Amino acid sequence: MKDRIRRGLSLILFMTLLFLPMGFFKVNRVLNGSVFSLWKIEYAWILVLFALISTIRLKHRTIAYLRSLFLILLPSILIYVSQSYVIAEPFDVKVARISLGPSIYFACIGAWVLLSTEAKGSLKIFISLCVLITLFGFGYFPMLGFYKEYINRQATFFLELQRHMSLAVTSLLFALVPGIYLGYQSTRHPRLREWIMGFVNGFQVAPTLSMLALLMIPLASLGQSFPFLRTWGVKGVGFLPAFIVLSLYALLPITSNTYTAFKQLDPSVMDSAKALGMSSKHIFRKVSFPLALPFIITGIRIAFIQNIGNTILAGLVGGGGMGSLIFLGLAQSATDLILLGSLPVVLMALGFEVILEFTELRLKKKMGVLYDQA
Amino acid sequence: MIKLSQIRKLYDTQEALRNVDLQIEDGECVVLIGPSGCGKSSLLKSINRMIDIDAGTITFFNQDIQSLPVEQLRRKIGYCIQGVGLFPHMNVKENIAILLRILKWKEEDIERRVDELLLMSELPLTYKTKKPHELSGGEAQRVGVCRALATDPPVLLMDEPFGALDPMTREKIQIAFRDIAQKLHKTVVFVTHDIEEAILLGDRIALMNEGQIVQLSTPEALIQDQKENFTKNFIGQDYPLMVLKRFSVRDLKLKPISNLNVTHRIDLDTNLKEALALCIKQTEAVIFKDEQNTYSLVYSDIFSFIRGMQDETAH
Repeated sequence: MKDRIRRGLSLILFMTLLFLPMGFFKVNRVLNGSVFSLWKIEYAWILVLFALISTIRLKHRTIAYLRSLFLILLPSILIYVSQSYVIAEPFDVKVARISLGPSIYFACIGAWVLLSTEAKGSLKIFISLCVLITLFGFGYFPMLGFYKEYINRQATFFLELQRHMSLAVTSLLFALVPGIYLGYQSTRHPRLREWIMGFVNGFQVAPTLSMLALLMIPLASLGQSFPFLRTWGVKGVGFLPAFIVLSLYALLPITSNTYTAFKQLDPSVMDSAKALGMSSKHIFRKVSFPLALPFIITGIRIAFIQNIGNTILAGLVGGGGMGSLIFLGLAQSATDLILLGSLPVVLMALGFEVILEFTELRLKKKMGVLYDQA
Repeated sequence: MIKLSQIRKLYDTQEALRNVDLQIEDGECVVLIGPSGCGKSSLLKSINRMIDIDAGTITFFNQDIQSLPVEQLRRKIGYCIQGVGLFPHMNVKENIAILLRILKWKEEDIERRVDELLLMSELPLTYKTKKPHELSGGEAQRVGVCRALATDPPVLLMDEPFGALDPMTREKIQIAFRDIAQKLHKTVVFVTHDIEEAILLGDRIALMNEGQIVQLSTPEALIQDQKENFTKNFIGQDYPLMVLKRFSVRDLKLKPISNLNVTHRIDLDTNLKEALALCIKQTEAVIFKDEQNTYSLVYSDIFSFIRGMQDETAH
């Protein structure tokens, strides 16, 4: 039944190819583009026909293989084909470009939704994404505005990507020890818990942007009064304020998950550890910490994924990262540049989510804390 | 020897233990029994300082337990609880050996000790690598007992350890536990609310109510000597029948008879309650044999045994 709904959804998403714009043709980066649809591309309707047919449920094995292959390649093929839209007007190949229209996005989603109904669906979706990224990397989509922006800023793109990741990771690492420590302390001292949770919750409630703005004032004045600090990067703008805000934001998920991790420990297990005559140091090292670890890692995962997204804001205060591409794109109203900044962030967040969740599940099974669900 | 004197314990203003005195001899099994909230668990936990008492003294082999480092004390006292509390991330061997590892035993000594304990509790050695969630309730409890016995402590504290098991498993494990404790000459303090369990395991039964020990006597003496109404009500009218479970046909000291046709497949280890049940079903004598001899069992054998037992406790 669930599969039927998903097939229906894919069918609707594929149908959008027939009447929604397939893309926008722009003579150059600045001028407004002209809309074109699937019908402007020769034989493209055959693709749509196949796509629509693939939503039909079938049992034949060879055909099912072919369908999987087709669906895995469909996003890449659609994007590739859309480039072949050529109009009569003379244009400069170097600056003319194509932006993807809504129907291509919908069709990609449709293909992935349909893949998710098949066996090993997640793996197939992953392969499909990999094919897309690989083809992109090898320059198979040269007419794409997205690609042109990428080529123009290839050096900055990788630099910002690297800065984005290092900012997200270092601020997480910085929050790790205090987060776990605060969470552990709040299990031991119930009185302290209210203060700790209030403290870490406070940052979560305050909007990230206002936190950045608030930090600018003290950091800037610090940097001005002590010039040697400036040389270390203590300024109202740049890496430091973004780093501080991200660390503070990462605190809550780590702290609260550490707290629940220690709270949910089985009292009979803790009691027998105590009664065996283990010292509190041994109990922590051999029993409570290992058993709490999978749940602490959940907190770290949430903090990390949240950090990858939040790091975009670093672009606003000159902290670098993909945010600087996005905000530049916004300022120039260059949609493809915005996409170039945001798509990698989305992909990274999704990728790390999947990888970390998988590790976590393995760990939970190993620790024997998941046996009732497994 | 454990000596508790004038133990008091308060929870807020509620008195859980009121001036309790109890002396537990080496190698004996004292069962604390009573309705829920009578303080039996609190009394047990005060011995290994899982809870701290408000007044009174507890001496452990002539040493005040307050004067011992708490970890040292607990390592001399095995402790089993209803939830077992095996460490779910460790396999059976690691669970049993956890304290041995902390005490830095050699690996081959640990291996030998774990094998020994598993054999004694009738668990296959292949279980060493199993995780706690792969064990049945009874098996987990056996492993729990092994873990408590790992460092060979002279004393075992059992806090309703078999309460969650099904009746069949429970009886098996009770008998296995009794044999182990007797063989190793362990001093046992056992908390339960099951009178049959108390009869089966206890050398003495301490009946508790409202934070006090109401009566302390052997299971046999309790048949005649029921000091208070509470005792009567708690142990029930069929108590004398239950006491029969403590004894086996062997205790009747039957004389071998010349070969007759064997009518029943029981042996000398069958408990007297079951033997009596057989006699009730049977109109004639129950004829059975062990390896060498044939025996005949009738009602009156059991009755005269009970009479003899009563005379013994009366004196």
